Amino acid sequence: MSESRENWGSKLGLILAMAGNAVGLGNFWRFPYMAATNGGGAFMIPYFAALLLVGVPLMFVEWNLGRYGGKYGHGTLGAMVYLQAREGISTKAAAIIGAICGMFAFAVTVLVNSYYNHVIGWTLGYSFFSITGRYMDASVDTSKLFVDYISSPGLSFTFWILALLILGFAVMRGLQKGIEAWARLMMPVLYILGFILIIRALTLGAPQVEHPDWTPIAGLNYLWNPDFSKINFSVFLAACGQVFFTLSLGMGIICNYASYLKPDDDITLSGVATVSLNELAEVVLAGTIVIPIAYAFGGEEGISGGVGLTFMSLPNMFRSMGGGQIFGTMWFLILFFAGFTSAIAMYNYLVALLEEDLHVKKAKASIMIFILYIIVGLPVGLEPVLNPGTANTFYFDELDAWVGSYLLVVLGLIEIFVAGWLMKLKAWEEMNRGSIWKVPKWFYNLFVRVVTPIFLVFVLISSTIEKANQGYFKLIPTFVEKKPESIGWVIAARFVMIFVLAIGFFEAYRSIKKNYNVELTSNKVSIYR
Amino acid sequence: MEPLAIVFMATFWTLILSMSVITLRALVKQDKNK
Repeated sequence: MSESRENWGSKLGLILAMAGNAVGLGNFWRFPYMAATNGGGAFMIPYFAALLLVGVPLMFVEWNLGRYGGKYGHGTLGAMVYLQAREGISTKAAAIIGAICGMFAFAVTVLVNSYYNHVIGWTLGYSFFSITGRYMDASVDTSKLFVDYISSPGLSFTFWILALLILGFAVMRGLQKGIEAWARLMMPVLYILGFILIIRALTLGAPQVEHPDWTPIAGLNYLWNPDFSKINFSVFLAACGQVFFTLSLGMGIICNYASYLKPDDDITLSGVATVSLNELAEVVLAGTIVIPIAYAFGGEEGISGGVGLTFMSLPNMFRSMGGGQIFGTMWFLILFFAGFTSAIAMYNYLVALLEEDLHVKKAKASIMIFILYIIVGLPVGLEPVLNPGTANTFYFDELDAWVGSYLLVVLGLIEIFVAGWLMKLKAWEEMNRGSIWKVPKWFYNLFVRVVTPIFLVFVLISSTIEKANQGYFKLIPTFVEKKPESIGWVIAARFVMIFVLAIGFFEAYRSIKKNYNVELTSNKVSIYR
Repeated sequence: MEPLAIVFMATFWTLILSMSVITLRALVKQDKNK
């Protein structure tokens, strides 16, 4: 265990870093589409309910887990979960639960960032394209431009490695001079650019002469007009999923940032601030930029989620509006900042792991993780390069389907179970230590112990059924059966996942054993701080 | 925009903006008192 750990320079810096951690690419390309297609304003009712049922309780649990683990010198999840789990079960069983959580967090931070770094590279590349006016000419096919971009190693690999270099440099500088300094710069700029883009989006008028009813305000109406007929249990689960992923829960990275707090630093106020700033970026900014622009240029059909809207449709729309080159640059910079401040948290998690468990210096650890990300990111970048003109991303999609979504729910469920049922009320007392806003005991008992875990079990069961129906549990999944060129990539992704999970488990168990062997052999809790 | 859409948008915007401002102000105050 390291005796002296870094601390955040200020509360504001911490919150901006934590908000940057939570605000990611999903806020900007997933939420508007999810809301608009699931009942608009009516979607926001289950969305906010899920925020209260799942988001806020789990946010408190993760902040508490991190700060508690940080008191013992840990910044990684395995030992953090062990410390809380040992309060309610034998130390040996707690070590196994801790190792499982450490395994998931390791897999998420290694594998999610293996493709996330590429997407950040795309946003950086498209910022460059916007500045240089690469897609401003009407003769440029923006769909083909994107396919060519990810198929070209010269372009896509250059921006990917550039993004990784900036990330590595920032992490290497340390918590205050690196992560906090970048967040203090990027997050305010992200919000300012966002509000400027809102003004531009709402003043577009009706750019399509043949469709005078396609206006930004009609887009807002489409987003917010409540359609209660669409509200059912599956929409509630979709809202819950959105809340879960948007807040970066179940990844271990909130816990890692919280581990740099002092033992009596306020975590309830900070947790609420993180949720609020994340929602400001998601509901206010993304909702008021993406949908009005997409609707004004493409009507209801113009609103389709994901990569296609961001990298293929929106450039086409930017070039059709006045000042499109500037606003396009702003949009891709917002995406870059959002992605960067989340990826840096995953990067830092792994650096912390090397520092604590292998006693590697931060600079050397940052370089080692840079090399690791190059290795694990290569297959992600190579698939479209080796299948030019197809924009195939089966390897990426397979990792995202398991590690980037499914495992997060599993990890979140274990974390809240450990806090609510193993550490019990001690976790609640810890949560309120040094806080100006106290978590009420009834809230803790109702949500952390009962409602949130039950809800997460429902989410997990429904996700499992959905995945089974989609053929994910088959050796060769249904969706690639008729695409022989993609089968190898999917199988490769599965091998890599199993390999990384195995390393993650053994690493986390080894770390717990190294630090708490006395407790494991005596089966008695004896180390307290 | 239809009235109900305005109500929904105004409600959620107000909630989010006010929570963001309140929590940030409280955190800045904690920084100053340090």
